[in-house]
Amino acid sequence: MTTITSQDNYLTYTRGLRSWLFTLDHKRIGVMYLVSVLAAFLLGGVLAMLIRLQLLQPEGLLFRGTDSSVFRTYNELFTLHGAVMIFLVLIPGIPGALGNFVLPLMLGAKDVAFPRLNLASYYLYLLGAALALAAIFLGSVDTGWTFYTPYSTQTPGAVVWLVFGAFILGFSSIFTGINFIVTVHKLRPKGMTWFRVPLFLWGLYATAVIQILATPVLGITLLLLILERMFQLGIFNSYYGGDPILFQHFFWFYSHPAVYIMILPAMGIMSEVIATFARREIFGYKFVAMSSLAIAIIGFLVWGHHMFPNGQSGPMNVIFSGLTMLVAIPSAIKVWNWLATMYKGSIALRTPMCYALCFLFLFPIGGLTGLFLASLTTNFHVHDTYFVVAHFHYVMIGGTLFMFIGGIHYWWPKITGRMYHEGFAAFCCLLQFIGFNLTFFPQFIMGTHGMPRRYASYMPEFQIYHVLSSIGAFLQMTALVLVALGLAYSLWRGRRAPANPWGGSTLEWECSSPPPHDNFESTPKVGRPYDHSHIIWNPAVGGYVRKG
Amino acid sequence: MNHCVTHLLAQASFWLEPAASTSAQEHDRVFYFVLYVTGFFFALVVALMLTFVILYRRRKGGERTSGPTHNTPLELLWTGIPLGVVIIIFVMGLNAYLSFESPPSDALLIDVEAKQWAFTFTYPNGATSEKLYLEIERPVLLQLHSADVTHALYIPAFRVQRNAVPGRTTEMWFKPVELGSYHVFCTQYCGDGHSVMTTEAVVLDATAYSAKLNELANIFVDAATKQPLPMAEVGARVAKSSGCFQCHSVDGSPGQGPTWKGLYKHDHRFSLAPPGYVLTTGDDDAKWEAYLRESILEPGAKIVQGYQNVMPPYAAQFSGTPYKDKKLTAIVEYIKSLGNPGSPPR
Repeated sequence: MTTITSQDNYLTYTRGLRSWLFTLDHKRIGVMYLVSVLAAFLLGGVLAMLIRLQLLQPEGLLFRGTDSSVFRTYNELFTLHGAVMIFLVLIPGIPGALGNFVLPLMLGAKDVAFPRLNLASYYLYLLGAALALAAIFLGSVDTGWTFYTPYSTQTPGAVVWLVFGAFILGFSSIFTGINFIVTVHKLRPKGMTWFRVPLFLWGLYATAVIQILATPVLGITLLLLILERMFQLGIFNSYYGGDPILFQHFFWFYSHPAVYIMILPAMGIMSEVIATFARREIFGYKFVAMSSLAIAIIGFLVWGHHMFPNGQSGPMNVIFSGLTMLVAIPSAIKVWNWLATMYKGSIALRTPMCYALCFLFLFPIGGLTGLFLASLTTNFHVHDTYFVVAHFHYVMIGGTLFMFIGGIHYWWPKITGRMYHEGFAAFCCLLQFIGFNLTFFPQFIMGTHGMPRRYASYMPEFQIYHVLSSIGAFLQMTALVLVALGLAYSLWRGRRAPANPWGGSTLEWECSSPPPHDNFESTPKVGRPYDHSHIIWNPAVGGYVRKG
Repeated sequence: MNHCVTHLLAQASFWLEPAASTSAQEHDRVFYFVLYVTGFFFALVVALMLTFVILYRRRKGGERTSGPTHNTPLELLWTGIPLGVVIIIFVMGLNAYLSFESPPSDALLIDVEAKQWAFTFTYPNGATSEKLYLEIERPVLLQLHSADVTHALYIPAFRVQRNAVPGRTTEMWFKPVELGSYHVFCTQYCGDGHSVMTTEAVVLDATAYSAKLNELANIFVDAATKQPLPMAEVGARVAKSSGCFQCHSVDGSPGQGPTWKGLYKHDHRFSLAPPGYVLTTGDDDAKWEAYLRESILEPGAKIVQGYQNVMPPYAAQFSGTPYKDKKLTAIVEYIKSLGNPGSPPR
């Protein structure tokens, strides 16, 4: 081991593969999460490209024929695309990668409360991912990521492996959740009252609450599904006296709140980025913070809207419709507050801010189209059509993934100690924005015209929308590859990053870039989290410094 | 009220196909309301965002910012307005939903069986079809059930969708108001053939509709070619729809009743039969046919050795009218076609 000097940062503190594999440093675990999640994202993206290739032609471009068994491969593709994107990318993405890295830094702490649990969570993620990928390459799964019974208990293939993988991934998620809750409760520095906690942490905190309350339900459900499939217990399969709708209730009791597991951390990044690049205190901090908790709570009460057309009783449909409408309100509050934060600000259109503006365009589309799905009358038309596909991609990609990538750019200098090329990164963001809308906006239109989801072939009149959508998807893929190349290039040639390149006011910008192993030499002073008045530009360091 | 306006807009095809049912008209009214309201708020968000980005862009040396950090009345206002809007949307959706909750009493009842990967529609007169035939201006109540996994029946032109769940019966009703032929899709993923589990809903006028149902009920004629079908083929369908195969196999496998494979003209032994009655390979067609007819109409009359007297009589289904009798003949012809005197039934 080399001698530790003051020049050492967390990347150079110790060397060798073992120092990474057995690290307890939240920053290294965050980086390992980041690399793993991005690898899964690439896989999910390639699967998406294959889906869009198939749908270029009504009878199917890759898999076609008179016998419907040719479509099984397509059905496997959309199953894996969904499972990989949700369980390996969207759920662990922001908390596991960015959350792990930033959360202790924002608290001025040395690490999370339970560093070993943190590493265990990462290895469970790897194990779960390995099982899921084994299901892909050793067997085959064509159930859709929702595993609806009784189909999932009957179809041949490696369903049990994928389901068990998801079960393990659930524990990884629970571990992260517990760790973040305890860390936020116990490791806040002196002076950081609850209403001085940065909003990204409020987002992570609300997420963690859902993770530890909802994920166990998924775990039990998945175990029951495995037992049903192996021993025909008669829980979910009506043939043995079970109830297929029960599975849907159990499944969505987790999986709808899981949507908020995916979006809340992204909303947290929104608040950080907007405050920094508008150089303003976040408008209505308490409303923004409390709306995260409101989303987490109301989000538990809306799962029944996934079951409107399956014969669920009328009163239940009415109640779930009403509650689903309510969950729109906290999101609306956040959007107004972000806009108000920009009012009279000093807005710098750096790349993370470009992603935030994309979010402010795309997320409202995703959220507002949710009202069509929440309304009982319109739901029965667009349910299980491409309208739904477009809706949740606007929220999950336009919302979560845009802010995941925005967040990667925002904290890139902190994580790597390098600056990326600003113009190129902003150009990639624009390209992605165009590609995204070209992919998913036509899907709203084909949805309202009646194009069902999960179809390997379709009526010729839908072709024009599918072709537009596929072109958009290829454009998005290109943009994402360019983003990756741009960031990779910065590792090699990027300018050295100052401690605070953007003028951020939260604590992670107080330590050097990349941070030292122990984050802070002394616990930093805590004031209001978004007070920018004392953060001033210093041309000598090429970044912002604290006044006085 | 503004029904005329929305009706005009409903003809526009950018978002929706023309409405072909009363529920579709009601749906489109709500749809366009939600579209315009959400469209307004979306435009407002984007307009404010762009205005602020341009107006308050960072200028050289202009890093000082002003502006309020909170304003509780404003917060309450922009909590309250969206809340009011979603309540209105909720009530609109609820009203239309409730008006379509209970079917009118004169609705025509059609049974829908979904299975991988086709729908079978059965009409009150016993006719069955693979396409859904509907009468214009006549409400119809669909009762859906599934023979295997969960499916859903979706007719975009009518804006209706309902799942067919194994172990349950679900219902939906609507009233077609435009003649024509419309897509019918399965929208609940159900395996390999999910995307080919499609058919058509055909809306006919009253005359054409009753003619169509009569034609469908006429199981002795091929609907496509109008040619008479072979009796054995008709018999196979009648046997299937009458549930014969729950106890009798046609491939020699054992069941609660004797298999039909090779049954015809093979020596029989009875545990119960009139004294002196024998039935052998050498007996003529008339005697064998009489035995088969009797065994369907009055199964208890003679019992084959090794089987219980458990089959209910089918006299009500297959005797009394020439039509029913013809169906019985068809089944007998079918059993005859499965006869194979060389190998004994198991």
